[in-house]
Amino acid sequence: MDKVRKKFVWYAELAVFILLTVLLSVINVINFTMVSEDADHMTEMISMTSGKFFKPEPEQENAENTDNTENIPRKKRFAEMGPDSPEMRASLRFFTYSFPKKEKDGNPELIEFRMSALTQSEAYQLAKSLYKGNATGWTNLTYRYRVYEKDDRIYVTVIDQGRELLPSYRILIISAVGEVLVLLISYLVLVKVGKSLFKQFDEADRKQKAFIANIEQDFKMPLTIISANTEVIERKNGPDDQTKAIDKQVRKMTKLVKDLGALAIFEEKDMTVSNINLSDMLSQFVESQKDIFESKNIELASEIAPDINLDCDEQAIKKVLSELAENALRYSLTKAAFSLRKQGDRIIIQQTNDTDLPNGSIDQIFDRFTTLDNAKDKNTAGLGLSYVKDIVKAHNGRVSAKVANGIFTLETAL
Amino acid sequence: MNVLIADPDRDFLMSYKTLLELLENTVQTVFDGTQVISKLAAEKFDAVILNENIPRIKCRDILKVLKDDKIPSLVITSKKEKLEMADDCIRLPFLPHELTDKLEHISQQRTVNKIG
Repeated sequence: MDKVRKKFVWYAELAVFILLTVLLSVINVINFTMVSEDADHMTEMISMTSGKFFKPEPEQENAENTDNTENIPRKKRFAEMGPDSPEMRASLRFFTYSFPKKEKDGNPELIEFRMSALTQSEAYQLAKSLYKGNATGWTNLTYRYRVYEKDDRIYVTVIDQGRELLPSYRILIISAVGEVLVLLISYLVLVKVGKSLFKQFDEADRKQKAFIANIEQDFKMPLTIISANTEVIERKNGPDDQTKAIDKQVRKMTKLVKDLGALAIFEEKDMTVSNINLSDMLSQFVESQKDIFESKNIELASEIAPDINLDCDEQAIKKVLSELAENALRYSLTKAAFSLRKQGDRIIIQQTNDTDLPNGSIDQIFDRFTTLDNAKDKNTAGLGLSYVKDIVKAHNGRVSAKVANGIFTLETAL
Repeated sequence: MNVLIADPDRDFLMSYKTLLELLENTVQTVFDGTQVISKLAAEKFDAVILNENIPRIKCRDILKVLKDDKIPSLVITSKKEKLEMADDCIRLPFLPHELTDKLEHISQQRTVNKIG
């Protein structure tokens, strides 16, 4: 149960991480794209006036309207904040160099210089490194440049967008820090929620085990006494239909209660681990089962890879095999098979048989008290495979079961 | 065969007493540990069927006495493990023939040992 809880926390954390990363990435990409677009809009305007600072448009509003913002059209009011606003234009820091197309045709020329963070020579070096081919882009993380041709010369206009980019960088940093914080907090919350959530499952599991143990305890003596008294009656008065019926039912229940006692609970702490040759164990096991399968007209085959060893509890693994065999006897139509092989670093024990079940995964057979309707012999509590699952899990393994094209496959990966 | 059955459940004692008597044994029943000891002192038994959870005296102490007296013992238990001191164990729940088979087995074994 502890593993399931860890898995839950891990997957939930992964989901939070992916969701948050996607959301924050989209926000930041949009944000930076918009700043770029604004900058490109300005460099474009500068390029239209051949790299010079463009003249502000003449004031069109008359004095009466200026303090009445209601009269300004909506679009224009928003423009007050954007790259088209007069304030923005006035505070724009930029420079433009123009270069001859071929070096011999003339000298580089400084068209306009309105920068304070760069000296003219630094600006020249920057422009020179940019002037090959028409392009726009970012350089030094703060400057947006545009290279364009006009009148047989190449112009390089660079504008300083540091001030406009600052909020975007802030948002980026806040996003990153925020994401880390949210992941941390959600981890703590998930661990806590996981604990209380899985406590219920643990509790249910514990109760189920206690219930099984109680049934077993409470049914034992009554069954023993009923069977003894039935025997007494039969010996005194001779067997009749009634005593036979009682006897039959008591036998059935006795078997079920015995199964409960033997199979209810596999405790990991009871394991004694040693290195076992599984190949030999399974070969011997299949050999010992041949007669039983034959007597039920089921063909038993096996495919066992040699020299496979495993550190495991020998008795527990033997129990797994006998449960798998019992299952095969109960559900096979005409043939069953065991196989053992290595797959990567896992050891696979597989039991297959033909079946009339529909295709699909049927992992519910590993749940306690589950029996399928097509069982030949209904005298079972449905605990065998849950016991198999407990044992395999205690060995850090996995169990799975599926039906494909009339073949049932039960796999334990150890 | 003279058999002593020791079990706290009176219904159990009644039914197995009747059954074993039908099978031509003489059967005495007791329901706690002190009675077992006093019965053993008073009489000679060919076998003792003993519930592991007998009150008053611990099962293993009774088994020690039985071992010293060389009386075959069959212990009724709920546990998976076999008790060291007992000649044989029978796990609940069981069917009558399981008990009678085991009873026969332990008494025969003892006879064989005696002859040997």
